[in-house]
Amino acid sequence: MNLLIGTILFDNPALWIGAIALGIPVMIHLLTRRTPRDMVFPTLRFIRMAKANQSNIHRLRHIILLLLRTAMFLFILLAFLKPIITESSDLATQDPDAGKSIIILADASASMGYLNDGVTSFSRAKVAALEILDHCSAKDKINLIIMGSVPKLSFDAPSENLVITRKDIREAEVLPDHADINAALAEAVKQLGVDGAPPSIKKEIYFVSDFQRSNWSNVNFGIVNENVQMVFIPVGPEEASNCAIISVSVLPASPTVMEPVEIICKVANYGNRSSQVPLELVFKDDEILTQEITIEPHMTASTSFRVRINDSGLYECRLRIPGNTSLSAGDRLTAKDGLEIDNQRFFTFNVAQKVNVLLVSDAKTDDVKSGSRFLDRAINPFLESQDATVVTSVIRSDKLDALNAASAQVIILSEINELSLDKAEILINYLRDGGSIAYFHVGGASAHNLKLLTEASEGDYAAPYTLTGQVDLSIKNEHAVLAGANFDHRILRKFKETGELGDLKFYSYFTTERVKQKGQVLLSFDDGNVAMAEKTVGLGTMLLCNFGCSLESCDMPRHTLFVPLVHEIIKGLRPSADARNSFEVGHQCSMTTESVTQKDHVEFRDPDDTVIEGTLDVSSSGAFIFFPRTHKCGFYRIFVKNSPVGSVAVNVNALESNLEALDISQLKELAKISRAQFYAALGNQSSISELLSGKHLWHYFLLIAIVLLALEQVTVMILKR
Amino acid sequence: MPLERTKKAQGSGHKYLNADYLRYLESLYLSSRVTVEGAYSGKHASPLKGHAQEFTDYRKYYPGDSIRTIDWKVYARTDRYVIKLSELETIMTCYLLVDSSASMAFGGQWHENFFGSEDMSKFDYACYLAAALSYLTIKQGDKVGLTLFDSNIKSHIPSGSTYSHLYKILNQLEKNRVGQGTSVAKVLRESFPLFKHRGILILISDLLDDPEEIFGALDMYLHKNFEVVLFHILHKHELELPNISSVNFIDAETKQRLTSIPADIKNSYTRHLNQFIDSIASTAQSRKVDYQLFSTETPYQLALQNYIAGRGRK
Repeated sequence: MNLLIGTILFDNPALWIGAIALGIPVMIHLLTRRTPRDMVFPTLRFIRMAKANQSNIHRLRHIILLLLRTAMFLFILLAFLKPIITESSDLATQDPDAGKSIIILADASASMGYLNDGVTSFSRAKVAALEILDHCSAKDKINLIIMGSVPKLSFDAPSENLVITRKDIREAEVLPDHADINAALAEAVKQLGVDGAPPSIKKEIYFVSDFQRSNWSNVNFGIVNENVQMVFIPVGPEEASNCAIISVSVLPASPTVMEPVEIICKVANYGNRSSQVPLELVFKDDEILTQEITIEPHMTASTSFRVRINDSGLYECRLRIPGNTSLSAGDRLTAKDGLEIDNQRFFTFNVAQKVNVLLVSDAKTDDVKSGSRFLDRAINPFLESQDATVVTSVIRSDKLDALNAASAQVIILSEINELSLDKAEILINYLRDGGSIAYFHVGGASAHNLKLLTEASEGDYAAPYTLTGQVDLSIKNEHAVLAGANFDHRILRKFKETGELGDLKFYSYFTTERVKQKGQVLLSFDDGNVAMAEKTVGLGTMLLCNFGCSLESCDMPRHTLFVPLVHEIIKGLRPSADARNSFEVGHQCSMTTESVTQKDHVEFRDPDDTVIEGTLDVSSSGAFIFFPRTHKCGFYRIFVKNSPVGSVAVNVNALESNLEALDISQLKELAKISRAQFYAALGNQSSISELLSGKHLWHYFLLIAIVLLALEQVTVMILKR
Repeated sequence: MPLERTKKAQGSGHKYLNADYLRYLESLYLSSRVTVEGAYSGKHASPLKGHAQEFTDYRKYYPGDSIRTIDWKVYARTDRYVIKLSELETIMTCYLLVDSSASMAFGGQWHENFFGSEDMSKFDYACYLAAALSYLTIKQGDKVGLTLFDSNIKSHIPSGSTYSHLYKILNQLEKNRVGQGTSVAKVLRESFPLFKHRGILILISDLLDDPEEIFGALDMYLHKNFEVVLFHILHKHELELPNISSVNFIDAETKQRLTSIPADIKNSYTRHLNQFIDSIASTAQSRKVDYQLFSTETPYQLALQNYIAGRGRK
């Protein structure tokens, strides 16, 4: 039973009876004052003289000494009462008989693996969580939520079983995931709602985390009821030093054999000292390329490895920071890099024998004058010759699906009919994932298709112009020419000097109405209508060409400019960087491959070469591989007859590398907690103990009593002089 | 001292003089430091010169002088009448003035009961000293007188040199009871006519009077060539206040009350008392008055022995 006075808690209130002892000095004082002994003395002359010399301090001696002695007794009494001062009276003064509902949210994200002084942040989190449990009473209901990419609960509902909770805490391990704090918080709120406890029962949520700014700044605390008390316990490093590879991109994303490839890596230094970071690119496990990069504090830097691939196929690469980084000149101390997991990054890329272009056209195959046929020939003038660098696959629009789209580096739409919504969605998703589409407007379906694409994108795509009508100048035996061109664009750059673009004659096209602020106009006709425009969608690019490639639309197929222009379009539209060269650990990942057939027995393996579950969707154009969940960084592979036929790289979320943390005041501001809900303590046991049960003061009181005793003795000595 | 007289004194069983005390006093001798007047031959120098065994000087013969005093040998050699002078030795008269005021009653039974240790009042201490001095004086054939006083002379025993006189003194000391206030100076003036012969005046008192008044009165005696001795008697608890938490001090003579804590005022009290003692001692020294402070804590025999021994060295 505790007794609270103000914010001071007395752990041993039974000893209040000792307050009687405070009367001892008073009694002694009064008794000695009231019983003077009579003494007949020869003369009072010298006594009077002595008394007259007594100072005020002498006269007050008894009062001073009485006060000192009483105060000394008081502090001794207070020391025995075991006083505890508590910042959070609500947390510290729970009635243990009433019980409470407690949810502990322990951050197990990759950043919690930061090693400082030999101890990881997650180890501190476990200690803190166990300390919280130590302050729970038998009637408290508790649930532990390990915060990873998916919240993991100890119980379906808060339980009184502290043993299991303790076991779960001890056995918990840091995950490579990026924690989904909002999901965990929502789960915690849900748990507090389903615990079945009456509303009068106090509810608490403990957040034990490093409170990374990148992860916590967008947490919605508004879902937490006002009667729930939130306790924030930071366990991260005060000053983190970490270098991390935050991204790797391959340029071009899908290179061809012998094509120069640039592997661009971006490295961040989140420490307070500049660092020289060595980098190793482990290429196909038999060749290591190295570089060194100097990065200023809190800066990122990029460097690139230039390679040329001789053989086609899927390449698994690993970029890593070997060992510890070293500081820049002048300070040769080894910089700590407490977080190892982000010191390497896995990625894959496909080296194709040729550039694959998917030509989608609904033109009749026997129509030799169709624009699509001209386009097909322009893309691959060598027909089946092995000298071709670009090959086309021609399909009808109704055959378009995600697999054949994924295998193409560029999709060209020409003379297509009205698309269905699902086809439009395939194209939009293709764009979002970094693909590029060139759409040659021919026929009346173009206006419909453009509108449909806009609808399917759900706001991601807005055409740079709308088609308002069709112009056919061939009737009047007239033509339009290009009057404006953006030669700074990568597609048109090479045509600036020749000026041949102005020689092209266009007979049939659409009138356009420009949508301001949307896309970029590359070419325009002399009548002001847009001839070519570009719009980015997600990571991809949509190139709109307001003309066809048939001789009825323009004379371009006859022109020597045609083939180079088509190739520049393909080259310009090839994805510069493939966002899908790796996936984030903790989430699902997927890939497509043409190496798997319906009859193959496929094995899914994780980076440890352990067989795991996965799904396979085989179609005529290839197979779609899906790993439902990843749990480790590395390569997730599929095997057919013990031979790897596909691989996907999984990495830690780059946000985990930035260990900059929100401080307590920022958390409070962020959580918009002005009420008495908000509490915080440092991650060590004593701070948590102080928060939950208060800070013991008895030794201070004892010290004061000793000081008072010394003061009393000094006062006596002074007064006796 | 004749043995039979000594035994008589021992057998008397007086409070202030018994056989145990006498053993200490046997070897002591109190001599006068100044010449004293006396009609009888004794051991002390007399201002009168005449025919005696000790030759000192010659003077011219005048008619009327006894012819027996003429030194005929000188007449035979020089044909002149001269008289041979010699220093006559006489007996000493010791006047004891013993203070028996109320302040002298401090100590004794009350302190024994309160502090649980043997104690002697200042008056008893003074009486012991007076008895011892009387005995010493009479033992060596001199005269001694006793005057007891408080604010007035309470009793006066003229000087005498017999043992019966000693008993008279002892009886007087024993039957005396302490009186009221003190007036040392007044008593000194009143007793001056009573002391007819020059001798030693021994004042035994706590001297709780105005020192200037006291020494003013003593000047009369000094002028008459008395040897004045001051025995300043103070109790140990006067010299150092006892360690009692709180005390109602009652003035022995005025009955005034004052409550205080001895521990609080101890240092200041001692300082003022020492100033008082020092002023008396220095005044006494300047007037060539023999001053001696006695604490009742010191056994009077020892104190007296030390005093007489010191006196002999001066």
